[in-house]
Amino acid sequence: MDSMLIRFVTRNFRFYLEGLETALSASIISLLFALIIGLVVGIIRYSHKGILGTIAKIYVSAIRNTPLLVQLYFVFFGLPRLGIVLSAFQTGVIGLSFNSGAYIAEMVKAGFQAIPRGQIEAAESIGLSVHQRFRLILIPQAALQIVPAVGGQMVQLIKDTCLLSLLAITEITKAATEVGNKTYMFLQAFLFAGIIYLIVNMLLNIAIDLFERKINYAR
Amino acid sequence: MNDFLSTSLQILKPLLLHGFPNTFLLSVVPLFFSLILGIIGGVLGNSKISVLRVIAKIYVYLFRNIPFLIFVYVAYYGFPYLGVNIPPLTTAVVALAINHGSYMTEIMRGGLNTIRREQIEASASIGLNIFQQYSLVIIPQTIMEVAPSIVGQTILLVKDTSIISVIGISELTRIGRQITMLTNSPFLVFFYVAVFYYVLCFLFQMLSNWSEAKVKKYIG
Repeated sequence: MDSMLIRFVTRNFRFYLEGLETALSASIISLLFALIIGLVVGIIRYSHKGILGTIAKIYVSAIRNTPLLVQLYFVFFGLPRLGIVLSAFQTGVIGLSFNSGAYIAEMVKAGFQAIPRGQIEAAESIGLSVHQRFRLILIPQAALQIVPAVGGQMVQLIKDTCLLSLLAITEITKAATEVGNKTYMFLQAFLFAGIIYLIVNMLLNIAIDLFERKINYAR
Repeated sequence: MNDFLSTSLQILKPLLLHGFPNTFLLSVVPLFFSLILGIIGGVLGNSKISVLRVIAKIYVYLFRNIPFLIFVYVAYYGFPYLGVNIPPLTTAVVALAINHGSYMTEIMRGGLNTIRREQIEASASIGLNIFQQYSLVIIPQTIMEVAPSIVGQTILLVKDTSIISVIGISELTRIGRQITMLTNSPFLVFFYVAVFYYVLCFLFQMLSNWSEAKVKKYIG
């Protein structure tokens, strides 16, 4: 049994490694886009009450109350209908970015709200413009606040990349399906995929902890 | 315009008749079991015996860091491997319950921590045994305390039911995919599917707000 398991792993490791590469690049690119979306939407959610604020609110609540898989299908099957033809990977990244962006927007908003009102009044009183207030006072402080939460979102993103397998993107889960199809050892194939996710997220959690400790020193 | 209406009708009928009830049941039944698992896990997580605490911790850690889809596949291929032949629907319920049981464990563990020591001492002093202490005094209070988080978690559970579609359960997402092939209007189909999920989550959100208000009134 043991030697069989080792043989299974060594023979198929290559597939998993390629899958891991795709999963990591998809989640990192998505996180970058999600941070941009989250910052913009978060600022709107924090400071706009009008139509823009309502749109941002609808976006966030629509994303948070529907499953990611449905969102991915919506983008994957829907975009070609609008004449936008992208690769599966690109569609997947778009779906993941908009999904995570909504969650990060809420973190950004909460980060701004955690900053005492007096600071904003002080910034106003020394004559900083709205733009300067955000750039010099609000964003730097909120950024430190939300780092752990964004780290958690990254763990979530890596978990979410598994849904890309349903869009025929060869990431870890799809690699496991292929290994299963080849060897007929589906259970082992998926268990091994699970171990890979676990290891990646464990490392990520350790990194987040270290970073958090560093920030606490900085405070 | 007429075309739009007839397509909509074609889409909405199966979603409303089969998808929505199935997704609802797939949310409620695992919710019940995940709550039981959560209570057990939460009590273990606060146990004085370190082995039990470690077991609860590993349980939470595993499900927090490995995607649900992987567990669905593992359960789907794992049960027959172990010689247990159960229908996919049961597999789905078991997978959802165990997965969300881990989150409920974390919620219950946090909630149990908020119960003051005096409550336990008082219940011990009137002669309740440890089982009675938990079932009559500690757990009811904890559930009141964490009711809003439990309903929040339920929304995540509702969303995770969509992943169950991969093992062939006819719920909203799977029916949606099947209709896409029939009607050839994916945009509309997945928009309606999303609306159904939204409504379901909204219902639970309302329940959450209601329970929060109720709890506030109860605790004071």
